[in-house]
Amino acid sequence: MSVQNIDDLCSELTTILGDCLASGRINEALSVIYNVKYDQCIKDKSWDIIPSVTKFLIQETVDNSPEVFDCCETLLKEIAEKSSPEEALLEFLEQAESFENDVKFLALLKPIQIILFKLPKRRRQSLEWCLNMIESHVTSLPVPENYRLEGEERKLLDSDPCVCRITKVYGGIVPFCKPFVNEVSLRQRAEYQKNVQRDLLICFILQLLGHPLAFLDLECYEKSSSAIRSMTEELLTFLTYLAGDLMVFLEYAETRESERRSKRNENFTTGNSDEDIFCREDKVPVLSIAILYYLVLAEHIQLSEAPCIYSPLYIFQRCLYLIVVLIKHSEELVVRKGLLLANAVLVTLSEGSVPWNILESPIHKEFVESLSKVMICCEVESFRKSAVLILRSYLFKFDAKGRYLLMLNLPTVVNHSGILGYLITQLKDMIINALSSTMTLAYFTGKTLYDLMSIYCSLEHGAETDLVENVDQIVSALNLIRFLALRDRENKTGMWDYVGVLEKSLLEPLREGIKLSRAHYKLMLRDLEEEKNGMVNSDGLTRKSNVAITVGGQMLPNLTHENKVTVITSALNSFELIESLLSRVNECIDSGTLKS
Amino acid sequence: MAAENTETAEVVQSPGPSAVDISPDKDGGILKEIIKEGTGFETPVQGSRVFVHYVGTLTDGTKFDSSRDRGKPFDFNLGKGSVIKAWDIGVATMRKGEVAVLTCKPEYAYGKAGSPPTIPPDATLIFEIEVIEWTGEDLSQKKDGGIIRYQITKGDGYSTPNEGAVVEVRLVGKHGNRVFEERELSFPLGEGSEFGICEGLERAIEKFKKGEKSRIELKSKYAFKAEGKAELAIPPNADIEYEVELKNFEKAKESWSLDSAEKIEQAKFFKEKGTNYFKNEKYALALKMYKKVISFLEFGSGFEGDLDAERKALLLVGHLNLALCHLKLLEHVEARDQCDKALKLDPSSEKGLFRRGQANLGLGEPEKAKVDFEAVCKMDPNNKAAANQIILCNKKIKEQKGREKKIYANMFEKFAQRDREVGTPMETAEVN
Repeated sequence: MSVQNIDDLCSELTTILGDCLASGRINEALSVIYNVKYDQCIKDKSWDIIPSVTKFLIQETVDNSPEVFDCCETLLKEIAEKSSPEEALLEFLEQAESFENDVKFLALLKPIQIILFKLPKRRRQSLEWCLNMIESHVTSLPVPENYRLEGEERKLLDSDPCVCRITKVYGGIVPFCKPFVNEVSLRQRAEYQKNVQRDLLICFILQLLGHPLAFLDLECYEKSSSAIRSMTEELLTFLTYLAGDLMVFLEYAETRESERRSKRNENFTTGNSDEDIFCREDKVPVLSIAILYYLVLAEHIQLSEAPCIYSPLYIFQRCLYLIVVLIKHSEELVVRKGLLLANAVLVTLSEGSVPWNILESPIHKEFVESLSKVMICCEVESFRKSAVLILRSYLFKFDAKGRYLLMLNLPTVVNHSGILGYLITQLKDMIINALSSTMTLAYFTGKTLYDLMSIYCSLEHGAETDLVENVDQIVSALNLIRFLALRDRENKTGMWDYVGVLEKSLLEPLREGIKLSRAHYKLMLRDLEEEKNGMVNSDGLTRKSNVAITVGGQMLPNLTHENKVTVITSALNSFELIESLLSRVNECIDSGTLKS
Repeated sequence: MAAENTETAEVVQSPGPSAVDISPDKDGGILKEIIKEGTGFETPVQGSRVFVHYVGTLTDGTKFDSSRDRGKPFDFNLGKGSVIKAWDIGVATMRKGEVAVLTCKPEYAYGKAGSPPTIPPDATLIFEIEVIEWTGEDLSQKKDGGIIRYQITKGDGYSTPNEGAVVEVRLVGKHGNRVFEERELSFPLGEGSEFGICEGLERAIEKFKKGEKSRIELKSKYAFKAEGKAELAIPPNADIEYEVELKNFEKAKESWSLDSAEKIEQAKFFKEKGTNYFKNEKYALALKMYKKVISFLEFGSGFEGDLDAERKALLLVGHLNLALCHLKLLEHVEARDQCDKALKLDPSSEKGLFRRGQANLGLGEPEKAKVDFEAVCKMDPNNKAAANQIILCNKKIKEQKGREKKIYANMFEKFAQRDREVGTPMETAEVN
C-alpha cells in the first residue's frame, strides 16, 4: 500500500466517521471502524483520526443523543486497540487535557488504559504522563465553599455541584488505576524490592487524597456516607496494597516537618531529582499525608490492615504537625478533619502518660497557637467547642511537669481572656488532681505554683485594666483563689505564703478598677439618658445616638440607643459579679488567715 | 527461616519453659523465648534500621497482625520509640536470623487504652519475630547510604540541634585505620565548612541528641570529595568515618521544655563560649554569645529560690561582659546602656560603675565619667585603676574647659569685632 493511499484512506475514514456521528448513523460508523481496509491507516495515522471522534465528546451529545456518545466510546476503544500505541497515546493525552470538559476526560480514560496495557515494557514513562495528566485535571477541579454546615446538615453537600463533579471524575479515575495497582500489589506475592511503577502509583494516590478530597465531607454516618467516601476507601485499599505498611508515611511527615524548619528547605522543595521521591512536596503534598492519617486514624479506614506495633506516643507526635497543617486552613471541612484527627490520636493516650520532654519540639507551640485560633475565630460553633475540649484533653495527657511547663508557656501564645479563663479552670483541675493523688504535689505547689498564679491571677494594666474585656479571666482567677483558700487550709500548696502578693497584684487593683469602671459606665449611661431626653425635647425626631462606647479598645459601631443601654447594663452587671466574687474571696482569705 | 506462622501462633499462647525475662526492671513484662538461634554475635545497635517478619497474636490465639500477610517485611528504626516498648527492648537482643517469641505485658504494649479496633484494653500480646537483617541508620537526604550512623551511646531527650544552633562536639576522624584528626570544638550548625567540618558530618550532627555518641560512616561525596584534603593526608575520593559525641548544644530559646534550671544551664553554656571568644580577642563573637546569655534569662517568671539568685548573678555578669565587649569594639553608647542595665540589677556593682565611666569617657563626657569613678573609689578606696581614671577625667575636664574657653573667647571677640564694624543695628532700628 502506498503512502498516498494511506493518506487518502485516512481522510476518507475521518470524513465518514464525522458524517455518521453527526447524523447519528452509529451502525455505519461502527462498521467502518471494524473494516480491515482501514486497519493500516488506523495504525499509522491515529493522531488524525482520534480528533474526528473526540470532538463529539461533549455534554450536548450525552444529553441529546447518548447512543452517539456510546458509539464514540466504542470507536475510541477500537482505535486504541488497533493503533500504534506510542503515537495514539500522545494524541489521546492531548485530547484529554481539557480541564473544562469532564465528559471528554472521562471517556478517554478507557482508551488510554487500553494503550497502557499495550506498552508493558515502556510503561514507566507513559504511565507517568497519564497520571500527570489526570493529576492536573483533578487539581483544577473547583471545591465547595464554606457553608458553615453543622452535623447532619453536611449530608447536603452531596448535592453541591462541585461535589457532584468531583465524585464523577473520581468515579472514572479509581477503576482506571485499579489494574495498574494490582500489577504491582504486594498482595500478589510480588517482589517487595523498590519498583518504579509502585512508587509512581503511591505518589499518584496520595495526590488524589489531597486537593480536592481534603475539602469534601468524607465522614461516615450511621447508615449512609457520601458517595465519594466509598471511592476514598478504595483508594486507601490500593495504598495498602502498594505500600504494605500505611504508617510509613509518618516518617516522611517528620522529615517534612524538620526540613521546613531548616534553611535548606528552599532547594529541598524545588526537588532534587535524585532525592527520595516521597520527600518532595511537589510529588507528595503534606496535605495529602495529613488527609491519609485523618482517614486511617479518625475514620478507621484500613486501620485494621496497619501494623499493630507502632507506639501511640509516636503516632501522636508525628500527627501533631499534620493536625497543624489541617487546622491552619480556612476551609472548614479541612479544619474539621484536623480536629477529628486530633481527637483520634489523643484518645489512644492515657492521662498523664506523655513525658514532658517531648515539649522540646516547637510543634507544640504551633499546635496550641493554631488550635486557639480555631477556638476563637472559627465560624462553626461546634468546631470551636470541640477545639476547647481538645485543648483540655491535650493538657491532661502530659505528666505533671509537662502540664506545668505548658501552663507556664501557654499565655505567651494565647492572649484571649476567654481562653485564659478556661486555662485557669484547667489549672484548678490540675491542682485538684495533684491534691487528691498520693503523689507529691511537685509542680503545683510552692514557688512553681506561685509562678503560675502570678501569670494567671494578675491584671495586665493594674487598676486600669479593661474589666469588661477581661471578665472571663478575672472571674476564673477569683474562683481559683477562693477554691484554694477553702480547700487548702493546711497550706499544702503553699498558697497562704503569698496571699499578700496576690492581694497586691490582683485583689486590691481589682477593687480600685471596679470603682473606676463603674463610675465610668454610669457616666456613660447618664450621657445616654440626657441625649435621649434632648432628642425628644428638640424636635421629636429619632436621631442617631452619638455617645461613643468602646469595649476592649474597640469602638462599637452604629448602635441604637437601646443597644447601647444594654451593653452598658451588661457591663455593670459583670462588675457586680466580679465584686461579689471579690468580697467572697476576701472573706475566705480572712477566715483562713485567722485560723492559721 | 521462620516456622510456618499459622502453626506457631496456636502453640505459643503462654510462654514456654525456656522463656527469659528481658524487661529492664525484671518485672516479667517482656518474656523472650528463642525458637531458632541466629547467626553471629552481633545484635542491632540503637538507631539501626531493622527488617523483621512477625506474627502477633492475643493470648486466646487470635492473630491480630502479621507482616507476612502484607507481603513485605516490617522495618523500623530501633530504639526511637516508634514502636511499643517491648519491641524496642526485645528486638535489640536479637541476632540476625534469630526467631523468638516475645510475650509482652500491656505496660510494654498498648496499656489500658488498647489499640482499637484490634487490641483490646489491658491485653498481653505475643509476637513471633524473625530478624531478617539490619543496616545502619541512613541519614542522607537521598537515602543513598552515603551517611550511615551507628549509635554507641544513646542521647537524652527528644530534640536535636536546629540550623544555626551552636553545637559542642568531640570528634575522632578516621581514614581506614589511621586517625587523621581528634579534636573538640564548637561551631554554629550550617557554618561547619569554616571549621573544617564536612557536609555529611554536619548533616549527621543535626540528627544527634544531647550526649549521643555515634560512629558516622561517610562516602567521599559527603566528605572531602574528589579533592581530598592534603592537610589531613586524605586522598581524593576517600570514604572516611568519624566517632562523634554531641556534648551540648544550644536549644531554641522558645522551647517549652526548658524549665528554670535548664534555662540557667543554657545561659552558662553561652557565657563560657563568650568568655572563650573574649580571651581570643574575638569581641564581635563574644558579644553574640553574651547576648544569648541575656536572652535565656530575660523573662523572670519560672525561677525558684536559689535559682533566682543565680539567674540574677548571671544576668549581671551578662550585662557587664556585654559592656566590656562593646567597650573593646569602641561602641560606647551600647556599652553605657549595658552598664545601666547592670547597675539597675546591682546599683553597687564596681565593674558596672567603672565600665560606665569608661564608656562616658569614650563619649567625651568626662564629668559624668568622673562621678562613676568616684563612686568606685568610695566603695573601694584601694582601687588604683579608678583613681587613675579620675586623674584622667580631671585632665580631660581641664582640657575641655581650656578648649571651651578658647572657643568662647574667640566667639566673644568675633561678636565684638562684628558689632564694631556694623555699628549698632538695634539702635538704628529704633531710630527708624
